[in-house]
Parts: sequence; C-alpha cells; structure tokens
Amino acid sequence: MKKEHVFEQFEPPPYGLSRMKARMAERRASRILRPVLVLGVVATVLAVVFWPRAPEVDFAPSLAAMNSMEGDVMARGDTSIELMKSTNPRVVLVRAMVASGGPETALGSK
Amino acid sequence: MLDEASFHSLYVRLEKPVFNVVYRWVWHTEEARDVTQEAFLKVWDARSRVRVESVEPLVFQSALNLAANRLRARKVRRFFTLGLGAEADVVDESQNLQASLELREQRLAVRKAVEALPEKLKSVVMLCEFSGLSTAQIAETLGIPQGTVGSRRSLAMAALEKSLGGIRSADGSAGGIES
Repeated sequence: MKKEHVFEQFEPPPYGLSRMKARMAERRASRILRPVLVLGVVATVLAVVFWPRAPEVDFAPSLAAMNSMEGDVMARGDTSIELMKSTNPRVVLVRAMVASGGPETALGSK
Repeated sequence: MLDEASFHSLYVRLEKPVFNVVYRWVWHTEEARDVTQEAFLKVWDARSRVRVESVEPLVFQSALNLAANRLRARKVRRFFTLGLGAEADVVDESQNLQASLELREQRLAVRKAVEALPEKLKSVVMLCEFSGLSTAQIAETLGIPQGTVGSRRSLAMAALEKSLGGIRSADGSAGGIES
C-alpha cells in the first residue's frame, strides 16, 4: 500500500474559522454571564436565610381572657361550645357538643 | 502573549494538521472538528500562561488528550449500552462520499491497522506524519526524549507495514519512513 494512502490527508469540514470565532464569542458571553448568575443565586440564598421574620405572637393575654369566661356557652346551629375551668393559664379547655341526627335521621326514627 | 489575530492565523495554519491527527482517534469528521476546536479553545483560555514559541506543541498536546478522552468516553458508553448504537457512533461516511469501493476498503484496512497500534506509538507516528512539528517539538508535545520519538516511529511503521503488507513511498521504494 502507498504511504500517501496510509497517511491520507482529509479536509476538515468547511467554515472552521467562522465556527471557531462563534464559539469564542459564546465563551466570552458565558464568562460575563456566569458571575452575574452566581451573584444572583448567592443573593437569593442570603435573602432567604436572613429575611426578617414577623415577631412571634404571644397568645397568653387572649388565653387568660378566655379562661376568665369559664362557664360560658356559645351556641351556633346544632353546635355548642362550653368553656371549662383550666388550671394552666396557657391552656383553654372547651367542651364541644354537636346535636346528633339531622332532619333525615329524625324522619327515619318516626 | 497570544493576541486574537495571531490566534486566528494559528488556527488557519494548524486546523488541518490537528484535524488529521485527531481524526485517527475518533474516526468521525464532525467529532474530529469539535475536538480540534476544543483544543484551540483550551489554548486560548490559557493564553496568558502560554509562551508563543511553545504554542504549537501545546495545541497538539491538548488535542491528543481530548481525543483520547473522547475515545475513552465512547468505550465506556458502549460498555453501558451493551454496544447499542456502536455502529452509528463510529461509521462516518462524510469522507467516503466520493470514494470508490476499492478506496473504501483500503481506508477500512488502514483504520484497522492504525487502531491496532498501541497509543504511544500511534501518537508519535501521527504527529510525525501530520503535525509538521520537528522531532524536538514532538518530544516536547509528548514529554519524551527525542531518541524515543525516533524509535517509537520506527516501531509504529513496522507494525503498520506488517498489518498492511508493506508500505511504499511515493517514488515506489519500500519502507515508508524515509519518504
């Protein structure tokens, strides 16, 4: 076999330099864009971590007020709620009652 | 330091030699073009650290590394896909469009012979034949002594001659090394 066949010179695909220039421009753009993206992600993470939260709500006064209403009964429709005595000022005890059986049940029991 | 204009002229000058070296690894025109361009881009990215006088060996060194990585990745992919799509992966008809059946068979035989070469011999012989680099530059590219370049080239040519049943130079003399 001839040497020039063994080491045959192939032509690269056309427009190599234009493609190369385009790839270089692409890299340049991504090099500019990358720090911006990284900064954006870092800023988002910091904002999530350090964003001021709403202060914790203190329920104690409203619980104390409810406890002072001991014995009161609130009724609405077929449901009533009775406030019970609680020894712990941070706990409100209620007794809920629901009248069983709707109109259908009442008809059925006739 | 390498400026953009001299980098472009370097690309124009070395595109074909680098492409031909890389093609003997990936055997695919589009992939060889991609690897060639990637090698140039790597050198461009490192331009602040590159000496102008060593830029050519560096381009070939980068191209050889990238081509070897591509080949390795292809083998791994083929292993995990149990060889599915292996044919489509490597059969490149773009260089064979105008070729006769005889030429195609000849190219296939050359490819088999080149693929059978050990990596170290293949790097040396392909750089010697296509790069246009001096022996000293090839030695620098591969990080080996100059004497080793000569001995590996002889071994590679002997292996190719054995596989292909002899290599004739353009003037018809046997032995392809002294063409």
